[in-house]
Amino acid sequence: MLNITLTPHREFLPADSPAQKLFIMLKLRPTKEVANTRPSTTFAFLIDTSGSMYEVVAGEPQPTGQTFRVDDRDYMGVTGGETKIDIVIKSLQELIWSGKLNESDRISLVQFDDQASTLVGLTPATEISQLQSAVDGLRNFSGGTCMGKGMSLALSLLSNQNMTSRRALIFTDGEAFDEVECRELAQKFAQNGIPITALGVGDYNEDLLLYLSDKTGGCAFHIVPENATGANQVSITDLPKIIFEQVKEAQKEVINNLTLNVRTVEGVKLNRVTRVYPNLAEFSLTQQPYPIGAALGDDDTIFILEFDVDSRATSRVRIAQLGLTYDVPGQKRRGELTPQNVVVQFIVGQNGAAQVDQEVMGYVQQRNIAQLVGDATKVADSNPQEAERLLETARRLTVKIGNKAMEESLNDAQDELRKTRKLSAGTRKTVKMGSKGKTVKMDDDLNDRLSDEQIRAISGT
Amino acid sequence: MQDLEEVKNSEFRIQNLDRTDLSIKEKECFCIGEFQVEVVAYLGLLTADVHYFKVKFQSFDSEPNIEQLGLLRAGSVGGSLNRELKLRETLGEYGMVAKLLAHTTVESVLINPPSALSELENYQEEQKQEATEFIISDREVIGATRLNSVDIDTNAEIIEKTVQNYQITPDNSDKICENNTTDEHSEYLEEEYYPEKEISSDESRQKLLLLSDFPAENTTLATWLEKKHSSEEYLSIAIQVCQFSSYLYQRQWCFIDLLPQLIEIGKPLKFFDLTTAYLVDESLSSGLVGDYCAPELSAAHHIQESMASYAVGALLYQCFNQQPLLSNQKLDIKIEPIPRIYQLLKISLSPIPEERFPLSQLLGLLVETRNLFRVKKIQWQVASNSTLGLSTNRLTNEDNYGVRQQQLSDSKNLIMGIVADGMGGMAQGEVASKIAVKTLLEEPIPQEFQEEELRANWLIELFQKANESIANTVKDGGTTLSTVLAMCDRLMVAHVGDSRIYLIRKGEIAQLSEDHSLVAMMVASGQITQEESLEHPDRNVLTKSLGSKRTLSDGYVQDLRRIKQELALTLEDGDILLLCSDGVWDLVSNNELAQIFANTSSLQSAVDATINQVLHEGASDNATLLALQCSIETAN
Repeated sequence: MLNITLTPHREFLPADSPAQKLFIMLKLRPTKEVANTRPSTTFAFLIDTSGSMYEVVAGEPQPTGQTFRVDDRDYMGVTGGETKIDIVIKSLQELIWSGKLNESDRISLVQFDDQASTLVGLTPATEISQLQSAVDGLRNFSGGTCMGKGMSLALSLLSNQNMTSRRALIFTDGEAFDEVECRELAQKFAQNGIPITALGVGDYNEDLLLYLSDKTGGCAFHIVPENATGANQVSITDLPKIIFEQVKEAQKEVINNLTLNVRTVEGVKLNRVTRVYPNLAEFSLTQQPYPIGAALGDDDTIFILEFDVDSRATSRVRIAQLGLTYDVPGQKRRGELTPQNVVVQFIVGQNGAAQVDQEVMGYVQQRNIAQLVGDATKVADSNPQEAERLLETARRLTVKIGNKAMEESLNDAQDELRKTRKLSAGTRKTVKMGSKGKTVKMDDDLNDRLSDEQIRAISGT
Repeated sequence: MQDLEEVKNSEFRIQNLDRTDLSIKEKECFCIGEFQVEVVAYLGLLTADVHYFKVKFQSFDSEPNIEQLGLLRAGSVGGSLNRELKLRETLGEYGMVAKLLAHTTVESVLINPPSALSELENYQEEQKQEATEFIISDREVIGATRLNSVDIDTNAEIIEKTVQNYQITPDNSDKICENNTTDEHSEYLEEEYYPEKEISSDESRQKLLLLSDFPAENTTLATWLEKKHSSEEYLSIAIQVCQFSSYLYQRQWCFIDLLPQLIEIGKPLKFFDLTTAYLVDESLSSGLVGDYCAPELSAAHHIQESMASYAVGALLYQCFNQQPLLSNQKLDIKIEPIPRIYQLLKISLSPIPEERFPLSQLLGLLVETRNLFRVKKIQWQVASNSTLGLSTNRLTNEDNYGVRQQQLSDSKNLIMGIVADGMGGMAQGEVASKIAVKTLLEEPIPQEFQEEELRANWLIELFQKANESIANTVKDGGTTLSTVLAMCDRLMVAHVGDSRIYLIRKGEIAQLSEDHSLVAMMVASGQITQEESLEHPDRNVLTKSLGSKRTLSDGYVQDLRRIKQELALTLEDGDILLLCSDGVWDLVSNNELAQIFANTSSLQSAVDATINQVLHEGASDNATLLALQCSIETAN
């Protein structure tokens, strides 16, 4: 059902050398038979209905001369133009009316502000009128942003649904009041194998949204009112498109609820598990088995497992055992990879240059670049010069790898740092979300990707 | 090149030449070219495709029983060793490369074949019982077995997906998940050993063998790096490596990694292994990681100069951090905040290859940095005191003194201490000594000041100038003039008259000036003794002074050559220079001075204590004491 390869970054490790790293690439690719299945999908849309969702963000509004006071904020009355909630409603309507969903795709809708409620429980996508009236109901709310309450409702809707491609899609425009609960709930989503797609617009907390998507193996998007540039940035007018894509992607996730079990011998420790293709996600290693998301039918899904390895004498020895379990929702089967031994040979005299697998190292590097960007945003306020330097390094490495979208996100940030000596909240979001964007596949020779001349042309050096 | 035929035909017939396989392992003997070789130890696969052995060898021609240690390397015919041969051809005889004694291609070589299959089985049995014990007790067997696994295949294809990846076919991987086979109770997996991997070596057993001398262990760069050294020494090593690397690069080769255990420290450094040099633009078929390898090498790149710069930077990093750069730090390295070293490392270790220095520029910067590190930082402490004294005949202090300090550049500073004791009636002496000090304080420092000769001439010119001014201004008056001039740690003196210049070093006092007085002359000619001179009535009569003659003849002004052969002496940390008029030394003996300065905590209180003693002893003359103490620190 699932082709699995494990590739260590090097075949031999030096004996008697402390504090070594071993990277193992775990590559998953469903077999043809499984790839051709079409899982049912089960979606929970969590929509922020706080007062700020009524802000006009698109179109050409005309002032009416009246002012309103909502949630302690003053608003100028306008006609024409589109509010955030308008666009969300329009997007969901387009999805319902698209005709691309059938009765095996189920949708539920949860709103949250000070409170949360289920506007419609899991309903086949073919029940259009029922869904339509629930979507229209989104306009009847306002208040604060208690996202955790909404997540908790969504979890109860999805958690007992098995053998289906589940997903929670959160749309928010504010700082959640109950961040701690949100983070705890993310862990439960992960354990249940439900990826979260987090869409943020305006003053949301990007660290929280990235946490939700990282831990659950989902993804996060930065929604902007203007035209989008860079990775994982989406213009709000393209919201219908991105929501539709998420549903399509869920349909392609022929393997889901992947969990990884890793045991190591003494002196070996699993340090990090990162999905490095098709996009980046950093999983938490708090409790075995580790939930690591889903796998697409038509492409590889690749993870890098980073191990710390203590000094060992010359030997060929098992250092770890990996096991995987997963669902094949399209066939309603549960699969298991019997525990695989990771055997490493420790030999003398490998302290000089050793040959390594360039594909594995390529993914390790992409992972590291994302981390560099994260570090840069952290020091941006206290040390803009250092941040600029880190971003420059990240940008130029990105150019070499050929990740155009991510490069664009970095360009803007660097410009801003250079001019203003700090990163605005919006740019910070762009950069952070961008660093967790799509990665570049490494299996073809890097050297063939871009000639040095092309690289120079791109990087302007 | 010598081929197997030749080896076979040689007079020395060592065991396995009867067979077709040449087996290379510990204790085995065979011939390479005109050398008989016995393997002492296997060193490992130090370069990805080359096996390294320590051997004993002797030449057929040489006296029997003169055995030398050698380095034997075995690798595939088209691999790294072959590349090294090409490079050696390009370099010719080059002082930084250890000579190759012999090289040969052998048709069929077995590297460390297992002694016997049964031993391997024994070893597996034993290790199950007591893993640690087997490691210690069964070393030889490990040695024999481990090496099979890396039977060399030099086409840079050691990583071969089919061998290395664990392909799991769909059929046997899928099971309905009912029970987990892993044991959840223990925290760790059980240790499980496997027979060390054997890679079939059918492809080519043909090997290239290279023999050279073995670097003396206690002089290798690896051994050297284990100890702490001065910044200057670290830079000197990096400079030599950079020099070597640049030399190679001028010939289109890039030295992208180092094997410190095969580099001998000496004059110059000597490289025993060149397998880490590649032709510029050569493309690698597999990634490389190593302590000195640029990070982009891990994803297999075309060889570039920037990788060679990186290797030099990585060595410098290791020097200043006492450990090699770990691969997970390579994207954003943390560097000790040492000015210049910080910038050098940051730029040469940049993850962006284009940012790194070209080798020639790096070399220049390293040399410049070392020169700056060589410069010693000198700081001066100054203390002085002067008294009119208690004589009823004198109501003016005719002594004058001054200190001049100037920073000429970042690394050069200058200090001048001056004491002048004037003489003559009607306060003329005061004017004379003032003119002398003023002249020395105010004369601008010339541009050309580097050479000691020039500085000495400049001092004499100043004395001439002071002399002329005094002669023009003062009637019946004159002055002594004593000055010290220290440029960095080089000290010079210029002196006329009977004031004195002392150097106190580690408690010992030495007089650097001569007394230009009548009594001194009488002592020198034996007319009176040293003791008698102290009480001699004419002890104030001078034989030399400024202002008495229009021009000063050659040698009139005394310099250090009268005492030390050389124009200048090198100061040491803590040295104290004293300049005083005869009012001081008349009443305080040399030993007393040394004692006061040794036992008093601050320089100023020592000066004050001396002047106090002068007063207590009666102070029949003006007394002036100027003290300068230097502290010298070398950078780091």
